[in-house]
Amino acid sequence: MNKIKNILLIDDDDIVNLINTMVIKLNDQDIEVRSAINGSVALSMLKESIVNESDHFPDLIFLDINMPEMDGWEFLEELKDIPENILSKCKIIMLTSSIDSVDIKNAKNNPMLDDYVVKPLNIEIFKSLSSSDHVPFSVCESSNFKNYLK
Amino acid sequence: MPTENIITNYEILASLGSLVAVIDETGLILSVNKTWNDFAIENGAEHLNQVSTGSNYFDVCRKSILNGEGFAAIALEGIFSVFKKEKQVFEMEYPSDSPFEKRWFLLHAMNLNEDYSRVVVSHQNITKRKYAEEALKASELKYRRLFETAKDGILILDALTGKIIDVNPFLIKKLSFPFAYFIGKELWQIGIFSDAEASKKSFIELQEKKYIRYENMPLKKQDGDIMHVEFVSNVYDMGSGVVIQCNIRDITENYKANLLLLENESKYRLLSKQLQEKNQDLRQFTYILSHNLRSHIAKIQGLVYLINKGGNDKEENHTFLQIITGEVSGIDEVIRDLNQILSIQNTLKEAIDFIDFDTIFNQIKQVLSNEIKESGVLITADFSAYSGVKTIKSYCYSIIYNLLSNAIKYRSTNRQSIIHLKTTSDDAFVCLSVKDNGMGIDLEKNKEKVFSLYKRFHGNKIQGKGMGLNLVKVQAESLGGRVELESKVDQGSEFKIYLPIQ
Repeated sequence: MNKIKNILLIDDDDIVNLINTMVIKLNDQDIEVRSAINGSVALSMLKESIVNESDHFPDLIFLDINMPEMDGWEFLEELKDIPENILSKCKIIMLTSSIDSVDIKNAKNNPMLDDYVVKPLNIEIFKSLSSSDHVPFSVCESSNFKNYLK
Repeated sequence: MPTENIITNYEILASLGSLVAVIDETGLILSVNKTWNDFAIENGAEHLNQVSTGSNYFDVCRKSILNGEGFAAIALEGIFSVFKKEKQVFEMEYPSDSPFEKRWFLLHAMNLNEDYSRVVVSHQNITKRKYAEEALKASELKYRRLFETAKDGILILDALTGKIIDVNPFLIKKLSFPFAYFIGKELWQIGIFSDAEASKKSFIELQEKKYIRYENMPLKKQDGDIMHVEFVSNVYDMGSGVVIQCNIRDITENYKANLLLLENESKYRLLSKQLQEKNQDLRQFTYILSHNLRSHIAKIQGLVYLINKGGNDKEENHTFLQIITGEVSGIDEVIRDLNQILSIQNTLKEAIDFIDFDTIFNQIKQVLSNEIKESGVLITADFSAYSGVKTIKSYCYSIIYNLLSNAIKYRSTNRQSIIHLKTTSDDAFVCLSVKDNGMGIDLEKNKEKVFSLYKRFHGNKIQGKGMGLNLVKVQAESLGGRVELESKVDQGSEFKIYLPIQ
């Protein structure tokens, strides 16, 4: 995968979006970061970027679980409408405060997801996620809540 | 007819099976029939003149008395009483054994055709009848013993009249009524059958089907206690009449044990249900800890990370600190919310008062007057079907407040909003309904989450944190009630709160 240039943050919490943007920018000033306050807003943005050439489809999506109107899981369902060739170039990371084992299991069973990260995001995690040799769910596996999955 | 004239009285007398003699007041035997003489010879009389015509009947009797046959004295006295016109007829049964067999005779004495100076004495062999009677007596005694010693209650009824003709000692003892209490009464008169009408019906059914069985029938004892019995009735033809035999088995101990078993079973079921609910609550709290509480902590961790990383100006760091302060308050709020809900679930120490729905409704309307005015909603109420309930006032207030406040908040912007409150009731519960024509909730999608803590269904534009409906549910349940919801998106919702009528 090429270098990450465009990131979409999907989270209903402005503060979370602010923190994530700052962490990403600390790593690489040139990455374009946009945010959506829920799944349905994000979906419109993605659809718009397919039609509109000047809008870049993101290379990486950070997705929260708990959001009003359309939560993370519902968003993933809706995402199936996006053409596979476009979607395959985009990593989707669940970025949530939830350490709920049910959420982690669901994430690992969802083929659309590349990893499950527990907030807060930091530079080290971002680096491993955005690296070209990132192995799916490697961050999740290395986290200290691994024993939840047993 | 000519043959009639030929048959003489002598011939008729000779053909009789009975031994017949005519005696006078002195006991002199004036005449005997052939059977008399035949019997005398068969029984070893040496000379007929000792016992037949010409001999003295009284002397024979006296001889028997001297031989220790006491009944001969009674016979003698009886025959005298006929001579003295004290009796028209004298009859007695007596034993007179032959060397070969036991025998009984019936002595019959009466005047000879109104001639009071002469008496006809006849002796009839009744041995066969006596044997039959004794056999019957023995058989009756045998069954009587069964009846008397049975460890089940037995009632015998006349099948036609339904009247009790016998009751065994076991039932008398069990029900503590005297024997006389039962006899001659109909089943439904004796009062042990608590439902007279049902008893009558059963009796008719029994007459038709000849058999009836009740697995568990309550009988009232004299002291008013109830005895549970298995009741089986059969109709029998006794030859002399049709009777009903009712066998009554005391199953009270069994019944009580069963009842206890059922009671325990329902207790365990309730306990298991409560445990499941508690588990559900626990899952909810785990969820809140891992999502809501952690979301604040994650933000604080993120901001602290950014501060530590450096590179921020003073103003930025100040903003971060302000945000951290807000998040700390957020954590505090979650903990307070959890504490509030936990304290509702765990204690019911608050006083129970009679709550008048109309009064409480007006108080809440007053508190929400600004919201009502600004939103322009129309609120109507009809509590005439059930005006109030005994419950905890603060919970009841909170339930109505939250439902009303939600109905105003989540009204439709496309039409005049109408909210209607009303009560209905059944035997155990009063149902308070709050119905609106607002935005509604997609129950197909959110059925499981509607009453969960911090769950919201209409975005973040409308102020709220998703606690109201959880409070409504927790409070209704801690009052012994429940909540039901019917809702359709863009049509409206109806919340039904069921509170127990105490």
